[in-house]
Amino acid sequence: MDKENVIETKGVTKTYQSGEVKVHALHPVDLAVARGEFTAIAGPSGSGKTTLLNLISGLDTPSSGKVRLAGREIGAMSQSELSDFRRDHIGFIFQAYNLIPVLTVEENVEYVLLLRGVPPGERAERVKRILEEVGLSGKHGRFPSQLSGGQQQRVAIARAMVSGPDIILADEPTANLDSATGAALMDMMRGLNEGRGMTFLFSTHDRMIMEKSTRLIALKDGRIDSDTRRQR
Amino acid sequence: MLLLRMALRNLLRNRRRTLLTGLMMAGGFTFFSATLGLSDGTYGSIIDMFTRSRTGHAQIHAAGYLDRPSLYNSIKDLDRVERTLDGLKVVKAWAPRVYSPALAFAGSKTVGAQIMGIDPARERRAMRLESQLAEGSFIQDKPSDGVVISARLASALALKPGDEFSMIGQAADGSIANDNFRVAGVLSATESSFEGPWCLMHIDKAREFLALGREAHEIALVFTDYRKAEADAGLVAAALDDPKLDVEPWQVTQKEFYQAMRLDKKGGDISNLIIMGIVAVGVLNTILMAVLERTREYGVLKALGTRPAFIFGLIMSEVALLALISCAAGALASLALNHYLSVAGIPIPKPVSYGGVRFTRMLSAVTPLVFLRPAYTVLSAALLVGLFPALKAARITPVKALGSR
Ligand SMILES: Nc1ncnc2c1ncn2[C@@H]1O[C@H](COP(=O)(O)OP(=O)(O)OP(=O)(O)O)[C@@H](O)[C@H]1O
Ligand SMILES: [Mg+2]
Repeated sequence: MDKENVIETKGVTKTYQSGEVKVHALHPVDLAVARGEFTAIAGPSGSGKTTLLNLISGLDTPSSGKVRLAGREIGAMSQSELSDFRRDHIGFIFQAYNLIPVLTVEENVEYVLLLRGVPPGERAERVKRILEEVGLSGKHGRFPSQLSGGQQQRVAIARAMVSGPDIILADEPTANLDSATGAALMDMMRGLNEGRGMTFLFSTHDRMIMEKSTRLIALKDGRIDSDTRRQR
Repeated sequence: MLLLRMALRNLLRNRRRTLLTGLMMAGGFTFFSATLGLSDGTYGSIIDMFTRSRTGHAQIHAAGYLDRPSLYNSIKDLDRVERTLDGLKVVKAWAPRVYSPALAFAGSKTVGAQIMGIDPARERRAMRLESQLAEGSFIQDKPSDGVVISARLASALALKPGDEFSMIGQAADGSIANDNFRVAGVLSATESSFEGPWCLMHIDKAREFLALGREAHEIALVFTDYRKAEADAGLVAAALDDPKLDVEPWQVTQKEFYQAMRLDKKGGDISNLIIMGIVAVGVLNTILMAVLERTREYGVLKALGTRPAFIFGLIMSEVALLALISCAAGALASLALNHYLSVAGIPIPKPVSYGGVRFTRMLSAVTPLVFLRPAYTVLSAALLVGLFPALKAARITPVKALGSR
């Protein structure tokens, strides 16, 4: 595989034990994502999008197969190594925003820099810049509950990007938003992707969002059904 | 610091619940503190009543006297001992005594008696002897043949104030001691610590009777603070620096009384333990509920790469913060309550009196320990029960937590 691939999965499977029955959520999946790609994972409900993203992020462990991120195999890492690896290399955007309610906009974004031990002066500088980029200047001191869904997701995007991770993983980042807001956010993410060269991997079942990707991977019943790259 | 800021804001999220738990802790603190103050105060009163009725907070004897009392084993260099005692700030008062057994006669009756020679002026400053008198008057400050006898001796010899009787004993020079005495007063039968056949007389009269020089068998000491009796007895011993002298606090000279007091105190400790248990269960419930509600948040924090130790610390800080604030509130409430109880006290339904002291109400003793022990107990109980939810949260697996709604 190409050295420039930031994400590689090899024969990754996931089988859930649901009571008596085994659910094969993912059949062997081989996937390679190159640095800077803006990839959408599409597929109907239950096709395995969330499962695949969780395996790639190391939040969940595959039943078999290997996941390599930024050149390192994450299956070999201990829990704390994995935790530190996520901190240093992955940015998360969740469907339900998942901001920390007791932290302000500014603090939510600053938090990941704190985890990384970035010095205070630089932290403030970077937080200020990214909040400007996601269009939230002036909302620094607000708490998440005082923001609209779209604004909260902007904070989440800022939080995911502020530390400059290699990979940004987003599970249905626009599913809780109306389509206009969702589309605007995707455009913004695409802009950041182009501007900073960060690799984006996001899932969606919204056709309009898929249209915005540079690569579209369609999942069906836990298998890759199609994988198309296109120019926009 | 981010950890403390998050902990504080988390506490403010569910204000009602936090307030309730805080009140519970503060209430437990106050209750604990008040019972401690009252029990310390009551024990203090009892110990004071007991020690000041005769034994004092500590006693000096010639080495070995306490185990084997003997007329000859006395404190010989009394002048030096007295000078040393006068030079010690912690010694509030002291009183020398001589003891000897004797035979007492009145009419056709004969009975064994115990002579105690005292210095009335010094005893007045240290002890409450006169108040134990039932009838008659106390021993004069000047040596005389007027003595005070216990109720038991009075009834054995059928004596009352004004009556005369004689005593025979063994004098220190080997001769037979023999003299006549006049009953000046009789001690109370129920409210006196002199239960045996006691005969109290002026110390110089006793010395003359027993052919003793300027010596004593015992010096009773009263300190400025009875609680420090053990340490102060050590101070006195160090100042005297004489291996031929024993200085022992009331805990040693009155072993049985001391043990009874300690047993009694244990009962109080157990009831406080139960209170703290209830508080602990309340805290546990609150924190567990909070952790359960925030499972998702902790999952997010972990997904972002937060170490379990930070989440553990976050919850422990929350518990500690709440406990500290509650303790501060509890301390303020306790200060007010204990102050009130130390002045007004709680009336005892059936007042008791002893040694002429009427004990009508329990008064609180306000010492630093009355606040420190509840603080220590509330804090450690809260932190202890916080451990379980904190560990639970630290161990959350992000996928499961993120799946929870
Ligand atoms: N924890 C679990 N236990 C048992 N089965 C599971 C579990 N998580 C997912 N599954 C099953 O695995 C399959 C894939 O689920 P997954 O959540 O990855 O789908 P998805 O594409 O994200 O769907 P959606 O669009 O609804 O989010 C489904 O059949 C689902 O029922
Ligand atoms: Mg999903």
